[in-house]
Amino acid sequence: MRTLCIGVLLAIACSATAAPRRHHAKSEAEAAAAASSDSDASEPEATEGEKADPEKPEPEKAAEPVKHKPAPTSAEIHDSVRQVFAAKPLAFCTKHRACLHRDQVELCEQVDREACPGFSEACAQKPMRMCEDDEPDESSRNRAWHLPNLGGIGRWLFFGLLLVAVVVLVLWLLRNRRWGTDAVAAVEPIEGAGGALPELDAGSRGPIETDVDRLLAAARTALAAGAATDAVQHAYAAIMRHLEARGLVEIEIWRTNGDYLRALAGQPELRREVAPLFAAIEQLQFGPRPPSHDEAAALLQRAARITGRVLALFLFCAGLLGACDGRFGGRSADDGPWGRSAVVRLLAANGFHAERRIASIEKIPETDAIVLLPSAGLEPEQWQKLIAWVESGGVLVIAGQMSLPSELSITVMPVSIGTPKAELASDYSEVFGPLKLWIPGSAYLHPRGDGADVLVRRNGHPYLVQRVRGKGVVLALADGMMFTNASLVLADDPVLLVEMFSLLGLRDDGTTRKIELVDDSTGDTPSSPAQTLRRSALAPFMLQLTGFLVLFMLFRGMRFGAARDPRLIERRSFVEHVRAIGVQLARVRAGRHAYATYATWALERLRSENAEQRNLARLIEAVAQRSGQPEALVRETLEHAQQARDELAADRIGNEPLDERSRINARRLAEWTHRTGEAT
Amino acid sequence: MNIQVISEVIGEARREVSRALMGHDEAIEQTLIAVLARGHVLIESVPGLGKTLLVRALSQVLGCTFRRIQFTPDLMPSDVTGGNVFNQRSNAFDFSPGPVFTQLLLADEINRAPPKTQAALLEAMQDRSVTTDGTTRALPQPFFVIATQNPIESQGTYPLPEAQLDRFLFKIHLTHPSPETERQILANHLAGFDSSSLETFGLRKLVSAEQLVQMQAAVSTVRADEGIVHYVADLVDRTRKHRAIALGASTRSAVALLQAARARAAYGGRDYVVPDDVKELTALALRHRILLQPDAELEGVATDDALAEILREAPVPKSAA
Repeated sequence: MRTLCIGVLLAIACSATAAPRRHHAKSEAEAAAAASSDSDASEPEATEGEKADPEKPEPEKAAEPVKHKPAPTSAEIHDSVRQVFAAKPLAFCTKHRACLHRDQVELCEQVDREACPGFSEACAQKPMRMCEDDEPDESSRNRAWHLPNLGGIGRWLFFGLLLVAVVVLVLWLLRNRRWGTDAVAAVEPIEGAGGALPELDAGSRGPIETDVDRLLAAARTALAAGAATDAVQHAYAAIMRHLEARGLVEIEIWRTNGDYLRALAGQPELRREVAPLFAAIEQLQFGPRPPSHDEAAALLQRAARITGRVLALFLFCAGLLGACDGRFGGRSADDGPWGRSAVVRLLAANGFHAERRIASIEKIPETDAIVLLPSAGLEPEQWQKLIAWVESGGVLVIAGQMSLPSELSITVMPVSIGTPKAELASDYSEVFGPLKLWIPGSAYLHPRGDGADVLVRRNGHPYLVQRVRGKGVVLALADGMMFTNASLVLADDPVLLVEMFSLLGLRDDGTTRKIELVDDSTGDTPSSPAQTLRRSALAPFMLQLTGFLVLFMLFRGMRFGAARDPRLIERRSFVEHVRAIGVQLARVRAGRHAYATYATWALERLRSENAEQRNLARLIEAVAQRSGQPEALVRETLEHAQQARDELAADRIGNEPLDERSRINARRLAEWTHRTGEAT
Repeated sequence: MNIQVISEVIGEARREVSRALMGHDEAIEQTLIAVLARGHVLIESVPGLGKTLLVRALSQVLGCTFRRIQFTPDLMPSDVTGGNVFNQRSNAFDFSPGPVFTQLLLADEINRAPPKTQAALLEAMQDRSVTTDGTTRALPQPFFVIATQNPIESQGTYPLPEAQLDRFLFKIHLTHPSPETERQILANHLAGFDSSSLETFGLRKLVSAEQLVQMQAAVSTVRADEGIVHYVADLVDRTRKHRAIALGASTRSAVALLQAARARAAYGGRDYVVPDDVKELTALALRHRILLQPDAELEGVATDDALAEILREAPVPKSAA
């Protein structure tokens, strides 16, 4: 019966070998060896397997010689274990430990001293100190940061703050965009304004470059072009914008370097550094001769040094990020003795593609083997799906599930008394070779009925049992010890692990064979961003990234939008309102309306400046006297103004353009109101 | 003379004078800049803050002769300039030089003398010469006037006419020293310091009158960039357009401001003027040359406020903005 089972097992391997998807040289060789002992049992199955495989290659292709990677020997597997532990040392193996926990004591007997020196030292201590139950395991302590497990108000507060932050950011962006629009509108030319209204953009300057890097680049360009004076000016601007971005100075057109130095009074060190730089710049700007190329280059170098603090900050923050404990890729518990990080890496080093399954077990994808780890809890329906999948050709490895479905006819017995010494069943000794196994634990399996084959016994009890189901096979282990980091440094346990998967034909050989490890995290979709962060162990990274961004923002300012000058005028003066109305009137070409409005104001102004003369004749007389203008001219002007005022009051003025007479009268009124009263 | 040497000597002179007159470093520095710029200084302060001590200490350190005139309502012009006195031996009029014939002149409480007497100083300050009975006599070089006036008492005073004020390069406000400085002054007094016998204090003479003249000449070599010239002109022009100012600064004041800026540059060891030189001296050089609008005065606006506003509006040449 055992021979039959081995044959079936090897037939699966052979079927994988025959197909492009599953192929393994050693399996073939061993299958051949097994077949020689019992060809009746193995050959028909192999043939059937081949027939059943829809992806069977064309005969001529199958005839082509295939270069197989030779299967690793026992010594090679031990070497790869040491390489895995050397590539990423695990704390429980390398770190000195003052004590051992009870479940770790059993490892001492057969631990590989070369791969696990720290642990060996702890084992060699005389007397060996046992850790207290509540004493943390220093070697496998979870050092990654996690967000606190928020609940209730805390959770709402967290997400509330997150929401507020997003809203503030969006509002800020919108406001920034609106400012940009305002700035563009402010310099729009005024159509039809002519000479009646002041030109708003007169004297306005073009866009001012405020970006330090671009200013430095402009300085370099100017220097390369031989314009040393321009290079100096750009370098100076770069320094000032850098200081402004740091919030140390406020650049104004009327401020001098002395003003800026006074603003740096709170930063004496920086002031001492900047003062000679300002002096050098002023010498180049106002000195007796224009700056030379070398002087400008030296200044540019100094400017780059000062402004280069951004880079220093960046490096500082990058250093902070680098200071993370590097556990971004997995859970730190996986690096402990009972973790599985080294197992995954050992399998990878030996040509297997093993990974933790994240998605639910409900939908079994195109995978070659599934390993159920002890923490994986399956519902009956899920078991049924898995068994169906096995019967269709899948490989299921059950490691330490306490309760197995009745279809498998295997019962897990929790306790046995004896030593961790284990041994291969005699038939499998021929396949795997002589292995010295040491598997701590006490559970064992109790297979019922036919079809179950015991591969490994521990303490005389079945430990590893395999049962063929349909086209697939189920391997059951009494516990999950074989899939722990600790087992890799015990006797020949890693050899058994690798050989077991090799025998199942799961080694990658041109085509990826997928082995999925199922545990408690499988299918457990995180319910919140915080949980995602916690599971991915990205909390330290995210916190430091946030810290970096905050520092960067404080250092360089918010640059989410296009760089532009800060808005300087928060409160508009009266004249700006008047000007804005004028602009609106100019846009609709309502020159006559503007004149009538102005004439109304001017008449009132002249009256107030001339003893509140309500009588027009007396007002004309007074204005003529004070302005020195002929009375006839004043009369003509004021009567015209009064007429316009009356038309405006009667709402008889539309969007009429300004006529020449009104234009001249407006200027006269402006002159007289200025001359007879206060300056307007 | 080398600009660096000027900077070092005048800087040392400031420290030396500061030994005698404590707590007025800024005023001393401003006065020395005025000396370099060949300008005169009007100091406005209450009595007892060390004006006389400042001038006397300066005269010692700068190696200049020193005279003091206490201006009073009955002071006559000839009391300032001197006059012809009949010499019975020679049967001729001999000129008896007045106290103005000195290198450093302290015109104490100048606003107490009538305008006629004040005007006697006009020619001396502007042309550095005195004309009496048709004869013009040059004053010794260098010639430097420090006039004082008390801002508190107005009774019996004659405010200086604009023409006279325009002759002063700087108007310096001397304020009370800090309590800490005052404690130090008292300690020095207890230790035997007597301001009336400054000779015993051992102030060093750092420069001779001839060297000082050379320094003043060297200041004229300090370069003022075109942008600086525009900046000065712009500032002065703005004083004429400012809403709170009835009478803006004169062209003479623009020249004076530029010259003062050059002196400050030399004091700083530079052979070129920077905008800070102009900005720092604008209030000193212009505050006494402008007249405020009556309503601005009623509103409590001071000339310094108006000038500060102008400085906040005038664009600085080659600014980073």
